[in-house]
Amino acid sequence: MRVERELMRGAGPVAVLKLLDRKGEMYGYELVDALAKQSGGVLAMGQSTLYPLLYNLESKGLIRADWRDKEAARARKYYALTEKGRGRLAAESKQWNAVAKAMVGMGVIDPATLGLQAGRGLGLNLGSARAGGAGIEGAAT
Amino acid sequence: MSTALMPENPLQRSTWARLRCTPMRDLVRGRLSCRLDLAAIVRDAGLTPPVSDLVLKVASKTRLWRLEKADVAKELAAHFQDGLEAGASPQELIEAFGDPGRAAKLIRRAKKRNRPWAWRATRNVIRGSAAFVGVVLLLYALQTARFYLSSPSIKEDFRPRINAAAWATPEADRAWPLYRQALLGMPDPPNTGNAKEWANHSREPEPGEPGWEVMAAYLAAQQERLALARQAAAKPAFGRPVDFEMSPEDRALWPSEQAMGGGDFREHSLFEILLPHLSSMRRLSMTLSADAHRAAAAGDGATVAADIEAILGVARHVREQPFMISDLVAVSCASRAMDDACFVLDRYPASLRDEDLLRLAHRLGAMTDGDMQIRFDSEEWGFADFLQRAYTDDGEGDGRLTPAGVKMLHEFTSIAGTAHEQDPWVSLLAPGGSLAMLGRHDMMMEYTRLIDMFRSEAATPLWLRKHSEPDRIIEGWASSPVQRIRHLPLVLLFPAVGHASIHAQLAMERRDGAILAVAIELFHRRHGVWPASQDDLVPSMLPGPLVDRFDGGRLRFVIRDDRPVVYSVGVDRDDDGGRWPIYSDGRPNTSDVSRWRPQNGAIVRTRTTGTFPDAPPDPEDGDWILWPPLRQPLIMKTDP
Repeated sequence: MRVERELMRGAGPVAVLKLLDRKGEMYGYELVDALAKQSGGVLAMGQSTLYPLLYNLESKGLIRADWRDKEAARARKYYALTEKGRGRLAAESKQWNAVAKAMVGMGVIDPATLGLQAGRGLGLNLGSARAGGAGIEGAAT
Repeated sequence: MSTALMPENPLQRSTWARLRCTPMRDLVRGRLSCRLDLAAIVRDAGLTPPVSDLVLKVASKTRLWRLEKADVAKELAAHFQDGLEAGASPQELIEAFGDPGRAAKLIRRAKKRNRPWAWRATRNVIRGSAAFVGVVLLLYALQTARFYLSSPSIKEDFRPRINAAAWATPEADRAWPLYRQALLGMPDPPNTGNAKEWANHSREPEPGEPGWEVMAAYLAAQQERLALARQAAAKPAFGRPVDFEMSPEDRALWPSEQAMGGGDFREHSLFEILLPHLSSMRRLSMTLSADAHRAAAAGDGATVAADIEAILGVARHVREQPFMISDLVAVSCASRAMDDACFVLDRYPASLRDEDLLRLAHRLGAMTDGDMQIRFDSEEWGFADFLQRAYTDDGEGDGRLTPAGVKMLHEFTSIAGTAHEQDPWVSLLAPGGSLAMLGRHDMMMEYTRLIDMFRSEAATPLWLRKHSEPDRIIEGWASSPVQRIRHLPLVLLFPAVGHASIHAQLAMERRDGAILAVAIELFHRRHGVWPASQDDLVPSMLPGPLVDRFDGGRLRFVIRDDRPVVYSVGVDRDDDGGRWPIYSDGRPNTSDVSRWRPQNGAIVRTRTTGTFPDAPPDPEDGDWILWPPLRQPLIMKTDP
């Protein structure tokens, strides 16, 4: 499904921050692959979009980058969250939750498509860095 | 750029190419590592076309710094390696990559955000400065258009004001037709211009001296014309209107004088008014002066008095038009008359009968201070005329400078000798300069303020004056680049009021000295003794005591060798008993005008005194001898 650019502009960075928060550190190809798979292709973006996005996040101090040889593999540039990035992720998550709640309340989002049980709160608990859970996987289906 | 085209072995590249692809860190350590070589990076990653070409293309198109490009190339190469290892085909990877051009643009934008803050700050400063310069240039372009589209509105003709007295004079009372008749056909006297006859003389010869015969022959031939001149000088008024062109009668007198052509005041400024009569009248006064000397030597006191009286009449007539230059010429003529009176009284006293002396005394006394003041009425009109030709008119007395005004100002600076052809920079900078300059209303207000300041000073006795405040203000503006531009018309056109006023005051002092000398001589003739002081002369010879303008006391005199010496205390304000200051070589210091300064003030070399700043100071310990005149011996330059 093709998502409008303006929506991607808001969703793409927070998705990348979340992936890095969950995984610890990832390299470019890994991120491209994870974005496509974990969002069901909704947040899939070309490398011509991803790398500029990564450099922007780096310029804002939300992520850091290191060239490393890992596990005797060839050198790759690995990206990881900074403390500032963690804080931004938390703030953005809150906002996304609020928007999602509002959209459910407005009837724009059908709770059934999110897999929410009736009677539970409308809050989408995106969980902590390592918790996994519904998160984006749930949102992508 | 295809990787296939680049030499595989870095050593095969030129030294310059290797230098360019080596980071500074490695160069400092003496290694030509070529780590920034994009082709090598792609090759080392094992990528082949078309993937390697895509990576090189994107990295090159970013137009980033070499280090940044290398980083991008390395990361993209690693990305494609990962993709190929994951089983994707090169074509799938290329399609998934997206538009290389757009990618390069986005990568460049994002990478630049990662540059050091100093670089970003510098870039912002440069951008800000460029934007500021752009805005300034745009505004200047608008101002330039506004400036070059503006034009003045010339409404007032000032000639009626200047010619009011002339036009009001009945024909029978006008002196000018008689003067013209006298001057027609009268050659210049030998003591004017390039007097070849006296080229070897140290000064003009007097009767009886070598060379005098030339002047004597000239005067003998001009007696009828001189009689006509005396008749003219006795008329109540001058009666010659001035204009941009001459009447046919006047044209006969000055055939080579170039007329401005046409009488339309909109085409000519007041500065173009023709005043050829001034030099003619001045030369006439010199001829009358020489005739007075001739008459004195011949014992003809009546003609002496008549000639001196005629010179004073010439001075009075020249003053009819209220131009500053006319007043200066009038003072010059009057001073000549006083010098003649002093000369005759000194060298040929017997030629003057008592009635001649009385006539001289009355005539000199009739020349009041007001008759000798330098007026600036026409200067004010001239400035107002300049403003209406140089500025726009908003209908409320204000306006801004126009290109016509710039042209006039440039012509004035050319006259002053500081500029010749209009510099192209003047045309470019004029719009900006016009903004810096005072507007029409403010300029006239400043002019009026300075003139009023001067009039207040002029009403102050000379011995109480300080240096001229208007002159000081103008000097201050002229010496500051910003103020000079702001007040340029005033700096160029405001008259040297202080100097002109002092010049007139000192002429009045010479007049008073001549009057006192005549009064002393008359007293001596009547009583057989010299007067002890001015008290003996008042009121029989003088209506009141004559004042020394240097200290406010009385003009002094002493009797030395049975002759009076009339003197002023001079610039040092110290009574030295009627003796000149003396140079080290024994010569007397007889200069007077440039020596005036306020009491307890330093000598100021103003724009008008023209004295050499490095010259040693003139001796001042002495007095200004008003009578008898000091006559240096005539020296023929061919003498050994």
